[in-house]
Order: sequence, then C-alpha cells, then structure tokens
Amino acid sequence: MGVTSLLTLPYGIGITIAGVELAWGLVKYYLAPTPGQRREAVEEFYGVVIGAVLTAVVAYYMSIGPSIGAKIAGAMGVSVTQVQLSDIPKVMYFDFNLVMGQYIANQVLAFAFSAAGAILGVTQVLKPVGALLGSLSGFLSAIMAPYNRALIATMMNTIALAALGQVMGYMYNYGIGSLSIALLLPSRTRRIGAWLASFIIVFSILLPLVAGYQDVLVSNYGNVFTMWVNTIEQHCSNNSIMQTIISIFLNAPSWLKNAINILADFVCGITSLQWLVTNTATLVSTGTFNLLEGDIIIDIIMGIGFAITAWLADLIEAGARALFEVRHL
Amino acid sequence: MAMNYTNILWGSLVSGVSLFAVYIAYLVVVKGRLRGMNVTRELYSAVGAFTAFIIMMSIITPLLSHLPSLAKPPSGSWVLEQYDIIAAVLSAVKMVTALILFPIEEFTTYYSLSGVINSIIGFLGGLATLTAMVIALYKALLALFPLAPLFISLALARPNKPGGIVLMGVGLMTLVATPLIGWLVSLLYNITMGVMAVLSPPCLDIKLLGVVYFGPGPALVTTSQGVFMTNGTRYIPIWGCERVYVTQVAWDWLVLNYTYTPLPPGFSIIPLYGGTLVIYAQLPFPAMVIENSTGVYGAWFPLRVLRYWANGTGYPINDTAFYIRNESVLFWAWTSGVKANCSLTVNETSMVKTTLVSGPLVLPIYAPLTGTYPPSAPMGYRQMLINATAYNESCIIVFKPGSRWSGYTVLPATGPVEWALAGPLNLIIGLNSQWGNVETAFMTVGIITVAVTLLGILLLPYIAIGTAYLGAIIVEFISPLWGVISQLLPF
Repeated sequence: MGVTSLLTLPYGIGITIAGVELAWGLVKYYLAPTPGQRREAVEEFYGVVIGAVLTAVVAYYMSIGPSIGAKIAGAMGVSVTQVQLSDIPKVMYFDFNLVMGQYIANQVLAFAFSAAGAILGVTQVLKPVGALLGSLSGFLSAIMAPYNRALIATMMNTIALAALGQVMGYMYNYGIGSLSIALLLPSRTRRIGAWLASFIIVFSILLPLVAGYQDVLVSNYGNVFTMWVNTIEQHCSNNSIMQTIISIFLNAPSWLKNAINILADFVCGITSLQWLVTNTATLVSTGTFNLLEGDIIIDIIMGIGFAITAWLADLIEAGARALFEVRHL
Repeated sequence: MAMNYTNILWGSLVSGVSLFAVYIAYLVVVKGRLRGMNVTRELYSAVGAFTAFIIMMSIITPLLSHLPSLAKPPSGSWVLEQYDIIAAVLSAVKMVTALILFPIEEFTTYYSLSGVINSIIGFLGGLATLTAMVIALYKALLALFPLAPLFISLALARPNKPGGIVLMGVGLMTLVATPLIGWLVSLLYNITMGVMAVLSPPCLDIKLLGVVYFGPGPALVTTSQGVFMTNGTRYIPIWGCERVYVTQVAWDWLVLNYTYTPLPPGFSIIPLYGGTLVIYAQLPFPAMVIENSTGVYGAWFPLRVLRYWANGTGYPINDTAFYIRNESVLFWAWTSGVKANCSLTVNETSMVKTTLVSGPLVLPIYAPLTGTYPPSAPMGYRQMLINATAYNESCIIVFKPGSRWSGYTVLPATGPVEWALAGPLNLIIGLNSQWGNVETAFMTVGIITVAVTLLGILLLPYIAIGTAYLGAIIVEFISPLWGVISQLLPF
C-alpha cells in the first residue's frame, strides 16, 4: 500500500479525523488561559493521541476483518470463502440468484409436467401419457419438498446478509468505523460511538465469516436440482430409444426441443426407477441437510454476534470514559 | 464442513484467558495506575468471573475433550434420504395408479388415493424436516457449547449491564439446552426412523403388469403380490424386483385348475410396463353356470349317463333345470340344493376344492377404492354328486341357486398399491403412543431451558456477588504476596 493510497477512502477519512482530533487537542492546549487548564489539556491530549491512533487503525482493522474471519473459521475446521466487506452484497446477490434459480426451475418443471399432462390427457389415446406426466409433477414436488424448504431458508439468509453487508460496506467505504472511534471522545456522543464501534469490531470479522460460510454452502449444495437433472441426462444419454425420440424433433424450435429433451430424460429416468430413487435420495438429502444445518448455524451466529455487540458496547463506553474523560485538576 | 469441536474448545479457553488477561490488565494499568481510579470492586468481579470461567472450563473440558460426548448427533442426511426414498416410491405408486385409472375414467378413485398418498408424504416430510432441523440445531449448539462458560463468565464480570444480561442468557441457554436437545434429538430420531422403517418399501422398482385371463369370471386371482378380481384383461401394479406368480384362482369359491405364463415386455410407450401375465383357468370339467346380471349363483354339470333305455333323452332347459326321460344321469352340482320329480340319490362330495375369500389387506375406509369382493365363505352351498333316474317317465331336475358370487376390482391392491394403502395404518403403528412422548419432551425442553435461563438472568447480580467474593479472596490473597515479591525484585 503506497503512502498516497492512505489518503483514499476509507483510510483517508480515518487519518483526517485522527488529524482533526490531534489538532483539536493542540488548539485546546494553546488556547488554555491558565496553567491548570493547560495541564488539563495535556492530560486530555494523551487520550486524544490514543483516540487518534485507534481512529486511524480501525479502517485497517475493517479491511483485514475478512481474513481474520476466514482464519477463525479455519481454526474451527470450516473452510470459508474470503469475502471483502464491500463485496458481500454482490456475493450474496449472486448466491440468492443461484438458489432462486434452482427453486424456480424446480417449480417450473413441476408445473410444466402437470400442464403437459393435462393437455395430453384431453385426448383419449394419450390419456395414459397425460396421467404419467401429471403424476411425474407430483413425484418431483414430493422428493424436492425438503430441498425447497432449505432453499427458502437459504434465500432468507442471503437477503439478510446482503442487507447487513450493504450497511457494513457503506460504513467501511465512508469511514464510519473511524468516525465511531472519534465519537467516543466527546462525552455527549460516547454512547452512540460505543455502539457503532462495537458493531464494527464484531461484524467486521463476523459478517465476512458468515457470508463466506453461506457462499461455500450455496456453491456446494445450492445447485442440487441442476446436478440431479444433469445426472439423469447423463444416465439417459446412452438410451437408444430416447435418443431416437429426441432425434425426431431435431429440426423443431429450440424451446420444443429442450422441452422434449427434459421430458424424454425424465421418462427414461422412470424406466430405471430403482436407480432414480437411490440416486435422488442420496443427492438431494445430503444437500438439503447441509443447507439446513448451515442456515441454523448462521442464524445462531448472527444472534450471538448481536449479543456480543451489546456486551462490548457497554465495555467500550466504560473504557472510553476512563480513557477520554477530562479530569478537572 | 464438519466442525472441529476440540479446536472450538481450545479456542474458547484461549479466548477466555486472553479476554480476561486484557480486561484485568486494563483495569489495573489504565484505570488503576494511569487514571488513578478506585478499581477494587471491578477487579474483584473480573478476577471472580475469571476464576468461575476456569472452574467451568475444567468441569466441561474432560467432558468435551472427545466431543460430541453428550450424545452423538444422528445423521440428518440419513433421515432425509429415507424420506426421499419413501416419497419417491409413493409418488411412483401414484404414477402407476394414474396409468391404470385414467384410461378407465376412474378419476375420483385416483384423486382419493392421491390424497391418501399426499397426506402420508406431507406428514412424513414434516416429520423428517423437523427431525433434520432439530439435529442441525443440536449440531450447531454442540459447536457453541464450549463457548457457554465464556459467555457466562463475561456476563459475571459486568453483571449490571444490558450486554451482560444478554450474554448470560445466551450462555445459560446453550449450557442447558444443548444436553436437553441432544436427548430430544435421540428421541425424535428414533421415532422418525421407527416410522420410516415401518413404512420403508420392500423394493424401489415399480412396474405395471398386464394380466390376460381366460376362464370363468369374475375370478379371484391370488398372486404372490396380492389379490384382484378379473373378467378378462386388466393392469396390476407390482414390485419390479420381485417375481409375480399365481398361487390360486377361485371362481364361485371353487378352486380352479390353472396355468400361467409371464411374457416379457416388448417396446412400449409406457416406460413402466413390466410385461404380461397370461392365465388359463378352468374347472376340472365344463359346467353349466347359474348366473344373472347380478352375479353367479352356482354351477352344475351332467357328468355322465349311467344307464340308457329305449328313446332315452336328456337336455338342459335353462341354467337351473335339466330334463331327462328313460335315463339315469350322474350330476355334479355346486348349488344350494336340488329337487326333481323322479328318484334322486344325493351324496355330498369334495371333488372340487373350495376356498375362503379374502380381499386385499387395506384399511376398511379404503375398500371403496379397491372395489368389491365376494363374501369370504359361500352361504348354504353344497357340493353334490346326484344320481337322477327316470325310467318310463319324464323328469325335471331343478338346481336351487346358492349365495351370490360377484365382485370387481377398480384399483388392484397388489404390490406397491397394497403397501401404499397400508401406509396410514403403518404410520399409526410406527408412531404408536410415542408421539405423546415427543410433545412432552419438546415442552419439557422448552420449559426447562426458558426457566433456567430466566432464573439465571434474575439471579445474575447475586451470582455475580458470589463470584466477586471469590475474586476478593483471591485478590486479597495475592496482593500481599505480590508486595513481598515486588520487594525482592531488583527493578
């Protein structure tokens, strides 16, 4: 990091605020009318220096928070993606999109089967095929029900983390971390400063840790539906009858071709029901449980994070009072 | 992404020691020495809380050195996997049922069965998800458990602040709820897996079998995968991984001679089609059937003419009467009785084996879905060998109809359908009286956790006074010692 980069946000604002604090300390010292008040100003200046150093350092602390978080998670035996504070909303949005995509694809497929079944079922000849497709929709909904629940819980978490990430991102970018330390110096703003500082100290580490954990969860288990469909496709790629049916529609519009492909794959999957059931159960259950477990862990960690914030805010306020309170000599 | 519980334990110990070291150093150096403030009370609280932390950690460390030691968390994936298997097979049952019932426009039957299956899947899904979530919660709490002493001791260090109260709540809740939820998890897991085991399908493959029947109808066909009634051609659902063989064919409670041939499927647009079963069945001899539009009421047959005089004759008038003149005829009959205006010799016989009828093993409320079956035993039937002799006279032999043999199968309750329809009963067996225990267990865990947590929060100031006294004893013991040591130090 070059010296000039120290002047950019968020370091710049931290150093500026620290500079203002020091200048204010000096102004008080030089403007003190009596020797007693001058001694008071000297006493106060020690505190101001500590405050200025902390103010300047907190932006740096916020920037290394994600790597501290990743190390803590690593020490607990969990590997997480290292996400910078300002990147959290972007990463969470990406995860939300992925999970929502899976959820929608699942619902659309179930609906498509049901609708195709209803349409085909109108004709007497294709009534069994219509019935098969209609109940295929039920099959899909039943086996994917726990996974869909886990996806909804994950979506909620990604939204909450993105919102918190947005707040923390702004705090980091606009030097609110440094400002919160500066707010500890005057007694009138000490309480809000303590809360802000506590929130920033805790969540600079915790939020990237949790967001990284959520990201790893989504990357590993958020696309189980696609993996499942791909597995069926792969399994059916050697089925000659299915390939013949698909080849009939080679010149059809792409949407129809895709629809026929999916239908053919699922119908082929049903022919080897035993394989389909075993494969689905293993794939979907592992993903579902890990997503659910992760969601609960995230909820608990965030709750504890807020509890620690409240505890630390008290401590910071008391510490700041001890450090920065002007003693009248 | 498994948690390393031992690392968490050591992390908690190191964090606690570091936090208290920094806090005590801050109190002594910054507040005490630099600012010259009176820190005695805060120091007592801090040292007391630190001592409490060390005591708590030394109690739980041997317990947790091989975490999870409280109760090993069961596998949540396994629960969901079992759910998925049962839900998938039940859904496949719906598929074959739709294939059987839609072409014959039995929509109501399909939707009723679909409703039954959906309720089983819904209940099971809820149970499996609840179990998986409680397991996940327990696993998360196990990771948090080693940190509980840290939270409690941090709260004790500063007992009168809102943050301290929150930390006390979190710490106590974790300390109390973890073993209780561990116990609850084992209970819930056992119940869920018990239900899953009872419901578990015998096979994961389902097929539709075409049955072509040649013989008197309606016949009751008993197979290795269940019973059904047929009049000709129909489809039955079967387990694909078990061979189907015919064990008995009955008509009018009479056991028929039969042969059957399973034919493998040719190419079929219906992918679940598992082939055709061709059954030929007949009585040991051709029979005249007593029958009207409501059903079958018996059978009889002139086995042979024993004597024949000049101009002797004999022929059936209708399905209950036979005319003879100048003949002695031996009849076999399966009717309620026989009468004639000539001499009759009646002997009871058991030339054709009879059987008792039992329909599919489903709950009585689902019987309308599967169809109707004949009564289990014939009423007033006798199997007879009758010798009728009419010399120089005309004789009409009248056979009296027995009870009605009738029935038809809407949905064959064979193989997977029989299993699916037994599902609700199995659910009840699986859950048995244990569900009450689960409710009580949930309530107990909730009440104990909330009560202990609230009590702990209310008693926080008093417990803190106790730990502060402990801190005072330690500080007052160390202070003179520190005085002596500092005298001996050269700096």
